[in-house]
Amino acid sequence: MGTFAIKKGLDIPLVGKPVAIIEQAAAVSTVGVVALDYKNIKPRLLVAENEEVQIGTPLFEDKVSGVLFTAPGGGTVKAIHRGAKRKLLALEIALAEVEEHRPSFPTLAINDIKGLASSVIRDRLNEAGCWAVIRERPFGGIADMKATPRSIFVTATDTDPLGSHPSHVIAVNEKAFVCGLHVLAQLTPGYVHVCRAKNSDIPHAENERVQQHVFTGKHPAGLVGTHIHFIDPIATTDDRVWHVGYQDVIKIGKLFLTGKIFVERYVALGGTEVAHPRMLKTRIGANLNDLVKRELTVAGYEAEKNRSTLASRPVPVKTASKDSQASEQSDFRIVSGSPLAGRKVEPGVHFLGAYANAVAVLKEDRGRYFQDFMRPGANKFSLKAVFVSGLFKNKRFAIGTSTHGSHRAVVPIGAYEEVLPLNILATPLIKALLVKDLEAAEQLGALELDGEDLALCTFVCPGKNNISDALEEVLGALYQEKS
Amino acid sequence: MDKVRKYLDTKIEPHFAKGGRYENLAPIYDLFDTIAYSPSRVTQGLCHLRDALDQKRMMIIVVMTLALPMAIGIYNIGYQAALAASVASLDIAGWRIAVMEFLGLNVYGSSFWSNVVYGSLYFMPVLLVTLATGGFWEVLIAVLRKHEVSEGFLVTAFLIPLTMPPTVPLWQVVVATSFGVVVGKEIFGGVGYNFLNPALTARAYLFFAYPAEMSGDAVWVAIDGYTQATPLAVAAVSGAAGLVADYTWMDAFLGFIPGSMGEVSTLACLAGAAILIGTRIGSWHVMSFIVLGMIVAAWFLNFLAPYSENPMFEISPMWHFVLGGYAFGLVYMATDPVSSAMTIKGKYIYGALIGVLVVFIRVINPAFPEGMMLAILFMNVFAPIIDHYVIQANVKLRLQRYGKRQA
Repeated sequence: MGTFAIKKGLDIPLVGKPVAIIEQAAAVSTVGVVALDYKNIKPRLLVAENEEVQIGTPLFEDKVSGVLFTAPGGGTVKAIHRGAKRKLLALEIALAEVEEHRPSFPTLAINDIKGLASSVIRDRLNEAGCWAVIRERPFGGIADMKATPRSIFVTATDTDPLGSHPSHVIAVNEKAFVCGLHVLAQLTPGYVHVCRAKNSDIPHAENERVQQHVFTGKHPAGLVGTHIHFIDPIATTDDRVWHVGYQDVIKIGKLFLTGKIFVERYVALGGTEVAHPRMLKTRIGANLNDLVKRELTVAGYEAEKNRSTLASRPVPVKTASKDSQASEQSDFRIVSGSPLAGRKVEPGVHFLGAYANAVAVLKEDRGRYFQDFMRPGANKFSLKAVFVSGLFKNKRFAIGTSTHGSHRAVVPIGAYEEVLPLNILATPLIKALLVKDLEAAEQLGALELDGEDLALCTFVCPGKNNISDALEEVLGALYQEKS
Repeated sequence: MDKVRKYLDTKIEPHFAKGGRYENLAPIYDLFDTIAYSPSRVTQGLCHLRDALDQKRMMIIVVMTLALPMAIGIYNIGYQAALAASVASLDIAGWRIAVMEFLGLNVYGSSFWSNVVYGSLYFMPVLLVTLATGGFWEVLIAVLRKHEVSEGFLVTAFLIPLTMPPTVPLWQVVVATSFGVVVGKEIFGGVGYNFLNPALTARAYLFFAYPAEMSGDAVWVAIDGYTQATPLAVAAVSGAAGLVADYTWMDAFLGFIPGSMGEVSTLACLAGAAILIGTRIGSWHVMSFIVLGMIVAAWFLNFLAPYSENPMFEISPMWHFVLGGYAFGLVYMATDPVSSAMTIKGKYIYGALIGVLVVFIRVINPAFPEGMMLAILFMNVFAPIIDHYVIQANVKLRLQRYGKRQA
């Protein structure tokens, strides 16, 4: 129950910020479950291609923890997409006209929830395939079903440059959201911390262990990593807090209120290539090529036509070599999630991500511009005041996917420190991450973080280093070491 | 323009690509290619957008801020020479005089253009030699190590001539630049990995290896055989009184005193500082604390002046600020992001200690009247240790937080 003002950070003024209007999205033909989106799992398939599935049919499970992943739609398994070394990328389900729910769970009223044992809740969430929505810090993987977290964080704010509008989504699902908070409170002896933006209307739950906190200021004020750092920070691998996104709280609430698996998902569709950036009501795991098709600007639409001829070819096995990526050249890029920490939509993983609240369509900018670094740069955005554009205060920028420069070693000019509001020494941590010094990275606070928390550091890095990816790699190695 | 690009992409680039005829020379092609055109790379991984600032832009801005100290420095070389020539009525000869005469300019005259041309004839050869020598090493090492040529050398190449006395022999510039680039930077891995400022390493090398050409009274005015002490050397002998007798504070502030080629004008350095701080490329943390450290140390010694025989004790912070390489080192050398401390708290300590050390070296050390170079290099060496303690404090805090919860 505090107010936290985040002073450091950066709100990137992107063109195409979604407005707070919710509309029904065009129907999609397929939905998918992207296994890649779940960290540290070893999936075991439970269905085969062309098998009939209903909403809630288990598709695969994690061999280690037993966490189930269920179908977000009814129909037939259209494809099982695999990558290099036959790694499971995603399962694609062709939707049937009439979808059926497989298991039916008992419906409960909010007052009944407080009487439920933690183990009953855990079993039901897992059986419905809803356990995976709860994530854990450190490491950012799916919460350990056998563990008890110190506290649970609910993120009911979004400060992403193309972020969603949580209060509007929660407003139309208020009862489910409150119910979800009650359910979460049963999972921890500590508090459920609901973090919201200033002046946003997030309903209170009548529960003494559910607290609201206000975070104001620039991005990353809306990231759960920031909330955890200021409210209940973690320091070692034995520390454990859980966190759940606001839409997933609604999903949990709906499961207990209606007894059915909630397959709707609201996404903020934004970016330079989108004609009308706004909130869309679609479904979990929506096929993003279908979703985006009729939403693009004229230029984006022309590009899409060329692209769909590319996409209709047989799906190539994704390899790490640069050449294959270069040959798949398209003029724009669909990102599931935030443009700062999202997953690029590629053949096989062209579905809305498990935790995504947004979809961004960005211009793929491979242009080679003459004497670019000498230009005044009226249309270039930088944290630092190095372009003429810095003089226009309210200008919005159409930033493409160009790296705007070549890769170089870290030359720390204080950019990281300007965008990282946490009490973490940015430059030493980033250097430790880039050289994969696990011990130093752990000591300097890597365990508190997830890729998205260092996204702004990646954005501003003048050496164009992939800092978020280095962090993920280090966290993966630390996780391996621990288990 | 598109045609040129297309020609490069289809006809030239394949030769330098993997498997091409000149595959090994790829860094050289890449160097010119990326100077001419922005690279075509797109983001990979989690973060799909990038800030438009890259190291090329960063370095070019630093180089641009060097234009003013360079311009005033060049003018001042000619100005000091004309001043000396008119006082001592010396006979000057050499190729520069021949050029001047060819252009119809009078060396003894104090016209603006004759000063600028005469100064350029001293400065430009040094700059060109530095660029050629350093460029040679950078490209050679990039080819051997198969990485791209970093633009960091661009700044170093402008800094080195600016810290040299006007009369420095060109072969010494070659030796010093080689030492600065190879030993000061490349053997540690190149830009971003070095712990000493390469430009200062080059200067320090000459300072200790060839003191006759780098210090004393004979090197600061660009006329053979003419000796004139720098104001700092005057102050070391005759204190504040001698200083005021020979120079005005305003001359020192504007840059019309003998000294190294680019360091003379405090005003120009402050203008550069304003740009660097305005663009937030230079660190105000370091700069402000060097000033603070210098003022405190100088006042402390001023306070002790009555008890000392050393005339330097009475030099006020105002004079320390405008003399020698203080301002230049403050703005361009100490703030080098790679060799300075990298944590913010570390920068405060690093800056303050440079400020204190420069005054102590100037005042108390009998051997070196100038202290900025040594103070910065010394603190470059200590910067990792300062950072280490700042980091340990942060680590301890994290553990304490955890311990408190466990209790």
